[in-house]
Amino acid sequence: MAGTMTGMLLNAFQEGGAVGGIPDIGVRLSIWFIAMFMLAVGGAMIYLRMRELEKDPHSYDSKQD
Amino acid sequence: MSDPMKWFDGRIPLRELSAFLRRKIVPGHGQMFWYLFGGLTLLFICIQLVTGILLSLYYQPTPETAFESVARITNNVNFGWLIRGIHRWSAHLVVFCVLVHMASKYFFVAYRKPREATWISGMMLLGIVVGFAFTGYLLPWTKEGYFATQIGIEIPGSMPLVGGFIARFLRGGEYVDGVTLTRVFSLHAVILPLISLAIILFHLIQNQYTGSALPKGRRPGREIPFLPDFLYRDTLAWIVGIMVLLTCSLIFPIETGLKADTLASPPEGIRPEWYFIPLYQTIKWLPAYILGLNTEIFINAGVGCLVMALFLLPWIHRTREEIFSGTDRTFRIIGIAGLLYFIVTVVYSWLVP
Repeated sequence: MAGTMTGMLLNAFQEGGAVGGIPDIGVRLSIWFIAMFMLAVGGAMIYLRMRELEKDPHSYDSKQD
Repeated sequence: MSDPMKWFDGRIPLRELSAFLRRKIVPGHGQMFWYLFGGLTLLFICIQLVTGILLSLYYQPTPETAFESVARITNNVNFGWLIRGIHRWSAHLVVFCVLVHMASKYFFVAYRKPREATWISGMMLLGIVVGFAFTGYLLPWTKEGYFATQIGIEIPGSMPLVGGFIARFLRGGEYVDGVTLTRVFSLHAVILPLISLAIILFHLIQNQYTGSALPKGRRPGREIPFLPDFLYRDTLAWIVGIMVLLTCSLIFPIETGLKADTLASPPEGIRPEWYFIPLYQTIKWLPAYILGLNTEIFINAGVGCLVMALFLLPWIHRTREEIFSGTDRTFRIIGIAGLLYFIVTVVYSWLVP
């Protein structure tokens, strides 16, 4: 898994692999769904932390735990 | 090592910097939403910088190779089409966010003392963003970009005295050709980024020092520390911004278009980008000559006066307030009229091509 990810990152924006230009709408929608899901999860976590901080302003100070 | 910050003590003033950053307070009120557009502008500028560097790895700024290199990025480079789409859509979003940010500061009357320098540096950044958009349009060497640049240079070129010099300087001669492309690339990729980075830094330091302004008429109340409370709000706005950017880039990808033919006549119905539409539509609505003089002279004079008035706004406002004892609503009315004119011209131009 890590090897595949590293390979993908190293090959990103390199010439040769991609042919045929802009992918069709199905491929683009798949990328869109994955990106939106990840961003929504990240956004929800930040929102929850923000609300937690509003209720207890010192909760970010780990020394108090 | 128990405290990694200790190593920096006496070497780099990180503690002082951290204390300076933690000092920032954001006023808490019902219109805090508008504060987010400054951060969003910064986000999209950073995206422009990163995607621009990636595109420059393959782009070749000559008339013979520019179009082919952009086609190569789109068709042969892994995710090249996406990087190019993000760069183009992010450019639209930078202009949009800068305009909203500026309008919100105008209506908050945030340009008054002690924030005059922040306002002026913001105005300079608006000019630079427009410069980026104008210079970036020619780079793919497409038919639309070529003729839009040709027409775009003619407008400042009609200015009395300095117009001819400006047009020749931008074109690098009498016509838009290879020299223009190199010149525009140099402006887009080197000169404007360097100037903008310096001004952005100054704008941010100024903002850090003076803090965000309250909307006019509001009394100071609840205060929110920027770090970490407001940064959470900024991060949420950035996530929404990235969602919008990815949606536009993936659903409406940027096609390669047609290569510019310098000998062909301009295509029918050629139009500038949406942010130049108010100026373009005004030229279209006005007759070719007013009082025996070319209309472009009046347009140039009007744009010059508007830019000058916006730069001098903090002092013009103060003078008017002294005369009208603080009861003057002229600036609010002018602002609303200007905003409505912008929206109406863009919508009209979209509905009636």
